[in-house]
Amino acid sequence: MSMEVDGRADEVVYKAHASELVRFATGLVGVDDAPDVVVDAFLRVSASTTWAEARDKRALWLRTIVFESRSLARSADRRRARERRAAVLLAVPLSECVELPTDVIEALEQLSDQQRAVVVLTYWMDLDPMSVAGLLELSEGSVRKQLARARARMREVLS
Amino acid sequence: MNDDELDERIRSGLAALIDQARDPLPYPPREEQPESVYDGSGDRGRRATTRRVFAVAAVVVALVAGGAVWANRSEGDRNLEVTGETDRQVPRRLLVATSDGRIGTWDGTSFSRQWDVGTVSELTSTPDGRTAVFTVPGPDNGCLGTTAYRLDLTDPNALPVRVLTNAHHVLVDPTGGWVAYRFCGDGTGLGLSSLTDPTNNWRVDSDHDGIPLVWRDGGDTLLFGIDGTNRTTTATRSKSLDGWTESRPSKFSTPTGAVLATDTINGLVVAVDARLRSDTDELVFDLSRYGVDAVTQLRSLDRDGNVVLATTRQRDNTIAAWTIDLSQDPVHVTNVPMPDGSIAIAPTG
Repeated sequence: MSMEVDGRADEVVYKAHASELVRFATGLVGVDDAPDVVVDAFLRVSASTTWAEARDKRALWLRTIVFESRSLARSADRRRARERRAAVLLAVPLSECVELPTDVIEALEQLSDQQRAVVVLTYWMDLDPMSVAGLLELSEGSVRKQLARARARMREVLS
Repeated sequence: MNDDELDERIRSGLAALIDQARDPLPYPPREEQPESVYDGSGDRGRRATTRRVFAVAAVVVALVAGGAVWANRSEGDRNLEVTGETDRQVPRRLLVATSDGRIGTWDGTSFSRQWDVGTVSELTSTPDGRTAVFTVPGPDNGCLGTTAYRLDLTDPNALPVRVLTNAHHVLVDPTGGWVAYRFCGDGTGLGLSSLTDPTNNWRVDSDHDGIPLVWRDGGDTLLFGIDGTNRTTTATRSKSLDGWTESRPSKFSTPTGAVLATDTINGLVVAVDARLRSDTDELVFDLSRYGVDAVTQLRSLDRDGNVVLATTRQRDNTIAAWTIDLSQDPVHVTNVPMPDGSIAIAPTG
């Protein structure tokens, strides 16, 4: 019985936050991989011992997404798959393409996973450094430092 | 670039990127669910194994008819190496047309985001899942008057936009930029039409009346069969997208000429009638044992082309959809449940 209750509670958490976190993950890993990363992170975190005790399950799930995005970047197979998809995208006539901010995407790709998470939370969720620090379980100083480095790197690419 | 300009570029760029975000996948149950597996051992398959699958797989129909064969699978078949990365086993989302005139998205359990479009005879979608292309039959269900429409799936209030009339057997190419079709009436014409520029068309008049149409090589090559003549002709689109050239004869031939292919299964597999078959005959997977009369569409569901979705017309004139995990040995075949009144299915997204 308790397992069923837990399962329903997890489903409520999933349905409440999945859309938002897919959008967040889209900023981290792109459109194609985001839904997978979100589900993978959910499966991982909801099976962990910390899940049941977590007061802010959304934040825990979000941190796991950042972790999963690192795993994604390390996967050679997935990297190759992304390259293939990019090749397909290039084959699409320009008029067929949804307008994607390729310069910003390129700039984001230059960042570390943590910097990217800080950038997305800051610029897309409009969170201040203290709130970002709370979500990612970092110090506020660390968030400010990551954000400054990320902005400097993105300025180089976008200029 | 000053700080404000930088901030604005990052903010607007991120917003544009995130605007393209997809819908989340269905809630993934942690409980293990049974899955139907065909073991390829003989005339009768066996139901076996349990593994974590997503919600739709919880209601899979057992597929136990047997006899499927992977011929010469290991020999010289580098494209069928198992990568170890299996991804999901079930489609994320299908596009389904129902007999009451609706097109909607179907995740295996719920039918949502619906559009009223009228009677649909054929349904397909662009690979990015953003546009549906479907045909509405002409008077008396004849081919003449059959009209192909496109529908913006990103807009819940979208209305169908006419693409062309007197054409059937529509199939969107892998780039999502073109729709291939056969003309009605003379039964011998084949055409391509840009989905965005109605003035950009390509047509070949020939004696080809083979169906259906086939895209390969990422959309650079179109195959069209010739019924009953054991031949297939290819038309190759030039890289510059400014025209097409026809080449013949094709290196590819089939027993019946009725061909359906995709380049999404490791760039190799071609469906022939009710079988999945490679163009080198190194593998054959026979779906006819599942009541399949013809494969109508194929689409890769994972990144490596190991898991594919086959939509089929069954011998009892119903339609069906199947996931086929080519990375498994034996190959997993799973029936995807369809909503009531389904008359056409298209993989999307």
